Amino acid sequence: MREVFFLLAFLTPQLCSCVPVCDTKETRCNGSLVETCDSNGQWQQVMNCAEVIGGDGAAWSCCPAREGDAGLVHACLPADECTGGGR
Amino acid sequence: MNAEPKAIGHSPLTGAEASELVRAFWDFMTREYGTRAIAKANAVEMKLAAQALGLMGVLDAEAFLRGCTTTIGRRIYVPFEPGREDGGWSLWGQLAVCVHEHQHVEQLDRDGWLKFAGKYLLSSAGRAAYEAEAYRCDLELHFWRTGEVLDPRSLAAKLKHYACTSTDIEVAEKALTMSAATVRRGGIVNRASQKAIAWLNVHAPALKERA
Repeated sequence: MREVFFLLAFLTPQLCSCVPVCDTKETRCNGSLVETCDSNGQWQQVMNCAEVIGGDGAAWSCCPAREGDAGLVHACLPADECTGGGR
Repeated sequence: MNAEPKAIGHSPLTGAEASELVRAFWDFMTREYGTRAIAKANAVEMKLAAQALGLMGVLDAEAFLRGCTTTIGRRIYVPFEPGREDGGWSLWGQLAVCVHEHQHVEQLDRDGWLKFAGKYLLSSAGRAAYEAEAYRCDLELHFWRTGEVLDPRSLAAKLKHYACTSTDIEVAEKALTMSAATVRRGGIVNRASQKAIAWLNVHAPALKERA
């Protein structure tokens, strides 16, 4: 797909008149959705925990998780790992 | 679009049996999604695109034709013959890129042509988000095979070749970091990965190299 972009991007202006509602790279849970804030200050979905499978059939929920150098982020975790706070 | 992901920390998938496995895998995924793998080097539209990109100085035409897989709609232009080890594409790379490209088909089906093409082509943020989601397939496949999580920063760095802004690459890294937290707990998020891993669990469980 990238190449198609290169062919057309030069011909088309980018438009974004959205009012920022969040700080870029901020993360949050929105129900079962895990979201991060994009460069336009808009929430974008990263994952929907209701659609995650694996982990021996565990139910998955959105909650805060410590992930290496990145510190605290939001992610889909097995429900029993969610402490219930920090949303 | 995707170049072959670097195979880190696992032994190569090679030999006649592995070739047959990769062919069968591509057959399964293309049947499942109604897609078609097309030899990129023979496709007139890809040759024209390569020439245009070369003339624009964006990408070397030969690198485009031999080094990248490109998906447009349900046509997947591949620079290799699935199951054949040549042209610098390992069999595992052919398998992984098949899943990555089919996640783009998932995105197209989910969002529709207008939204998908508009966001991908016109917005650096949109393009970075779509690619970060597709690169999650690489995270999921690699974890299934090795039990290890690829570095989100390295995956996100690939977006430099997609004309994404540095801020959008940072957002993509963040999204992949969030995904990594789920993947390392055994979660499989992307539908293309879910289908692929279900097939691999049945047809190639020995590929798993987890300790």
